[in-house]
Amino acid sequence: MRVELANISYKINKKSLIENICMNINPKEFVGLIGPNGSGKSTILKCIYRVLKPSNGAIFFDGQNITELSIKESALKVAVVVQHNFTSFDFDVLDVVLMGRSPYKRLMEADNKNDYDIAHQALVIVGLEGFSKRKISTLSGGERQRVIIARALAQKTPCLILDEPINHLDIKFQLQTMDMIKKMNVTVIAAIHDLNIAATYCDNIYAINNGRIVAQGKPAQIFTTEFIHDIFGVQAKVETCSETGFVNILYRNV
Amino acid sequence: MENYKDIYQLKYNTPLFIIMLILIVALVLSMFIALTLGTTDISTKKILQLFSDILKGKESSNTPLYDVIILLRMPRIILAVCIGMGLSVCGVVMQAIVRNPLADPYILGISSGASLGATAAILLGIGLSFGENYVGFSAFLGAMIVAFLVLLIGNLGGSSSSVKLLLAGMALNAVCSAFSNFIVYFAGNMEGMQSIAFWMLGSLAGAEWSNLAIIVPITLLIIFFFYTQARIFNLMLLGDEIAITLGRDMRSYRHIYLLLSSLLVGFFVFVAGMIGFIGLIIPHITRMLIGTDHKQLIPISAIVGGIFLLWADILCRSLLPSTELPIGILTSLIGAPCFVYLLAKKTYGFGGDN
Repeated sequence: MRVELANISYKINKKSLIENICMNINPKEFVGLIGPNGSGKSTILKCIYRVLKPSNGAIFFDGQNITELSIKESALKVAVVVQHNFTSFDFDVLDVVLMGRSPYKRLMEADNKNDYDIAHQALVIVGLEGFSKRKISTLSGGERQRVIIARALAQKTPCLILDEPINHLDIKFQLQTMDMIKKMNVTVIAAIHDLNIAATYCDNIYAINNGRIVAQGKPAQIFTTEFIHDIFGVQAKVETCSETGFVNILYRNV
Repeated sequence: MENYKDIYQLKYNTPLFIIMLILIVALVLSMFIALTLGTTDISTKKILQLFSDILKGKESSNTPLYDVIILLRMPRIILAVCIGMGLSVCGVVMQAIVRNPLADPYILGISSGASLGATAAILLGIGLSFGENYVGFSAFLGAMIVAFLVLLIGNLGGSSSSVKLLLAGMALNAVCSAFSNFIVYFAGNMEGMQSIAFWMLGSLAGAEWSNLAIIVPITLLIIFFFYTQARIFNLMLLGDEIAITLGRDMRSYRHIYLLLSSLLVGFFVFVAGMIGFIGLIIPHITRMLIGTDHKQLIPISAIVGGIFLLWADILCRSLLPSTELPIGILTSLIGAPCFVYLLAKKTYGFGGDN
């Protein structure tokens, strides 16, 4: 799915959180948003997945303005993986994954065999086969995160939005998760803190600082010693790995 | 290795069906047993005889047996089941609306609104023109006014969130209690204060066929409506933002649910005063048994609640030889130990991180 952001801004109490954001994301592109805490990455993503309404500008899914889509129709196009707590109520893992099927359902419609198959596949993909009947409260942080990813997969959308998708995962699952998402062959828009992960998996990077896009391009173009210092204020050494061809970033000090 | 097809079969067919069946049988049996118990125990045989007489169209309406069974016990039993069901489901609904396991049907200020209404009626005679049950009527009005105010305040300065609703409820709670206390303090009416206390503890003695004709259909309709919304309640527990990413905007839903459950609780307050605790514990007990999925939680907690309140009322009627125990005392007295037992026995962390 093609996603376009045309000049969007979001203001709260006259303070701009993001300003004049333009993006053009091609179908099946893996796009990374990087930037320091509070730079506006999550705000941009929230505008795309419709929790926030941009004060200015417009967002298009495959050329269609999202204001013309109902919330339910949007949920058929975009699935979201975002950190959240499961509040004070305990669900079975399978129940949570099945919620990914909600946008396909009319109110009274029960989950059918097909929905169960899809939910089961999603659990297999994230490596939680056999966890269906477990309570969410008995899972580790990483396992919970994978349940949320499974729910997004069960949504079967042409676009995935990920806000810090791998924060709670150990390194093996970070890589496995990113591999898995890459293989989904859908449009991906992800806010990523780990620059090495971003450099390895993203086709295109948008660097955000103070609510504006400050750079855009392929990882190899974006990540330079000066750039990392300018944006994050840290010293780093940037190398290109001779074996994989990926950019490696080694941090020195502040 | 588990087979997910078995889970599909199991979870959504067999146990729910069996549990429902057992519970419904238990409910019907309890209702029948309740008919036999009371200040005078009446044998099963006599009751069956009475029913068959009525079915055959025999004139039997002037016998004392008919009066006790048909005019006294039956309405009361039906009312108990009805209120038990309604309060339990409203408890489930309120807990989902405010995303807080401590919520009960009265939490959003409804209780204090109702008691202000009742206090004003008893001590100041407000609403005397509403007829015989003017206390119930003022309480109903008080509850509904507070429910609307909670929604109104919750929506001030931006759209409502569950926390805002909860805080608005607490603020109104304080205001209403202050007014009630003010009235009680300056009225200096001991007799009135006693009847307020009695009213606050709840009683099913006011059951009559005429008010059942309204309350039963409304209760069943609203419970059925909430049952159809099970999917929304599940999403509600994940929070507004997540719900949007799954295709539903919770704000409008929350308002409708809040008004409907306030309406239902208002009706219950009208006929039976306030019956505490049941709307808090039955949802939890049911969750311990079958989990959080509202598709099962709503129907099963309804039936469990019906059975619970029915037995509570049976005990109220028969425990003390000469007088009747207020039902609010009994629901807490039986409910709390059951609850503690379940808490200790099963690992039920209220879903929190433990």
